[in-house]
Amino acid sequence: MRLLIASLQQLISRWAHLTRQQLALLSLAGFLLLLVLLGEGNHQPNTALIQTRLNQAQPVETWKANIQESEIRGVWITNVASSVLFAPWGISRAVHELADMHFNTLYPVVWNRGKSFYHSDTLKQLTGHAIAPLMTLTHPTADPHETMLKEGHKNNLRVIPWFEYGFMVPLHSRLAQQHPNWLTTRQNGSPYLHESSFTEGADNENADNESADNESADNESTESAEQTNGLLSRLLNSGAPSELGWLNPLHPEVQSLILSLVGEVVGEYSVDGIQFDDHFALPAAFGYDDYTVALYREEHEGQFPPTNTDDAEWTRWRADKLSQFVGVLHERVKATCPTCIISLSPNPATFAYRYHLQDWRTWLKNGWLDELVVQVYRDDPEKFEGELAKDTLQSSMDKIPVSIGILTGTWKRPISFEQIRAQVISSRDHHLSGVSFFYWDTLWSYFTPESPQQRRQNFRDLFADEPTR
Amino acid sequence: MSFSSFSEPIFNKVTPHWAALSQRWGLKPVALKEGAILLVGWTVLTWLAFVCSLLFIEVGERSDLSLLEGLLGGGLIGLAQWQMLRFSCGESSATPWKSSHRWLVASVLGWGTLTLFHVGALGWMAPGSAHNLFFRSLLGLVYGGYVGAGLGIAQWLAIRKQVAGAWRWVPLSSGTWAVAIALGWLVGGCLRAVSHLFISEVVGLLVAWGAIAILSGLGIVGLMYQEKS
Repeated sequence: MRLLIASLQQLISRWAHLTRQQLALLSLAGFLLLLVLLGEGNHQPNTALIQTRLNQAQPVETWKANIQESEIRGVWITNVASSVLFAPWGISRAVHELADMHFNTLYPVVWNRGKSFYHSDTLKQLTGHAIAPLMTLTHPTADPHETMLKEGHKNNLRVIPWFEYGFMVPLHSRLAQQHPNWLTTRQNGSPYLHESSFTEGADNENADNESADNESADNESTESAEQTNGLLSRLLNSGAPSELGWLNPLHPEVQSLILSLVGEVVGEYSVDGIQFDDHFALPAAFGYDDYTVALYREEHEGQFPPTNTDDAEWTRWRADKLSQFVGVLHERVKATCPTCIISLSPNPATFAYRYHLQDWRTWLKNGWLDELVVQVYRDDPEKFEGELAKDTLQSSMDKIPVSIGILTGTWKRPISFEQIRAQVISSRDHHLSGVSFFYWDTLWSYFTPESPQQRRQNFRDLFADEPTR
Repeated sequence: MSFSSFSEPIFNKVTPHWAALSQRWGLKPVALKEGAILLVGWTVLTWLAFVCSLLFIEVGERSDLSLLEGLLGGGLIGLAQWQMLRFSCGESSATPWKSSHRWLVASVLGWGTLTLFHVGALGWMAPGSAHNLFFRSLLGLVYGGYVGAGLGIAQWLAIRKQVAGAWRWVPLSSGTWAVAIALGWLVGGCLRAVSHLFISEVVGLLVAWGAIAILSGLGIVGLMYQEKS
């Protein structure tokens, strides 16, 4: 053995022309590097994490029950403007830090930009890629979604995969290019939807009071906006596709695709549920594609759909069709995984119905939802309070856990911790079930107004107590 | 066309100018090329070592760098600079230096000691956002000068036998750090005021380390390749 080590030393020395002292120094540097790598970049003292790990012995049912009784403290983990899913140590580090801060729910992305973030046979057949190609480079052997589940459950966190893009797809994606008949269109036959024209509406401070004109004006100007989008704009959007389209939620083949994807996630992974958001909808401007028009005419004695996109009957008809599909989806999920919850993260009800034809009040009434995380991305404290005090939200709380989606910032819209703290406290004052933050990378990182250490300390203080409600 | 046939005429033209320059600056003419290589390599590697250190060390507003992080940061920077010294000051060079590894030891111990005195984090630290730009720059000058002097003393111990008048490295290092940190914190502050993102401070530190790399590179080349009287 000694001979082997001596020969190895000699070999290395000869190769690098190093003296023994230099070799010793290099070994020391290597050892230090190894120490840090093993630490996986956890910069804060991990006393709470140690406690969390000590608690791992409790049965899964016990901690799941505890979460039901606790304040929901969730976070969305996405691939957009985020490295968490791509860095080899990213998932493990994020989950450990979140557990350390007393979070208890993860909503990791599994479906975005026509790609999956788990191994999907359905997408492999359709697009040739079982998982987003970049993920195969950074996670060549492990399934990152499996890692997320394993790490999450090990740290007593619920893991509820999030179908972030819902029916939205980039027009240049293989899915959209190979199946153009799956896309719905606007009145002028255009399948284009600029992402900002969708999200800006949702983020609008006066969402419920806005006239439909603003939204349609947004949509009308979409194509010209696409042309003015430069490289800088795309960089700020983290390479987000500028040309987006919408899969037709009424089309049987699209429905079959979504059912297959959901079936894979709830059937093949030990998930605690699934989540859809405001993209699991149909923007009011859409629905003029051949399939939908034919279906409408079939049910309306040959009449064409109204040209007014906000026509009450036309809105109701499309919303009901979407609701019917949600019923099917609910049935399928519960048949595959009876313990899985169906979580929805919509916009406030009136806005969601009017602009996205997402009639979640009906979904709730029919018992198709097990959890609501209503996005209230408002900066103005009065408007935030106003949303929380609305009857729909309060009455929903009688049926299922309702928590509030709070924006912790984006690259273009940094949000101070003071605002976040005020919104969490307000949610507690309104006796909501908890909060969920959008998104992981703006909880505590360089892309926040405060330093990461300061931000972590703030969250630690905010969530210092055990989560009770 | 080979590289030498392309480069030789250029070198022939440049060499007399270099010789004149070296005479004016008091440098050994034969070492000018080696010095240029050392300067470029030193600058690039020092800056890249800082970038690498960001993988392990989180930039913050408080001087709460752990001893391990201080040792690691100093180790990475020292390792990069030692590699350049090894390469440029090998036995065949104009200024052979057999114990260049002492630079690495000095850097690691220097950073480690500074960390124990709670100032080792400076290279990975930003001042609080409450400070105005003038005060940030002033703080940068003071703290930068302090840390630069501390590091300079540690590194002086490593080069004192190799370099005549090595004591000059101490004020040089102090001045370099003072200017660089002040500049970095100023840039970081300006960017942060516009973007409201903490990443601005990281960009500021990247600028600071760029300045540290260039200025300390000029200093080390000047010291290593000075004309011996």
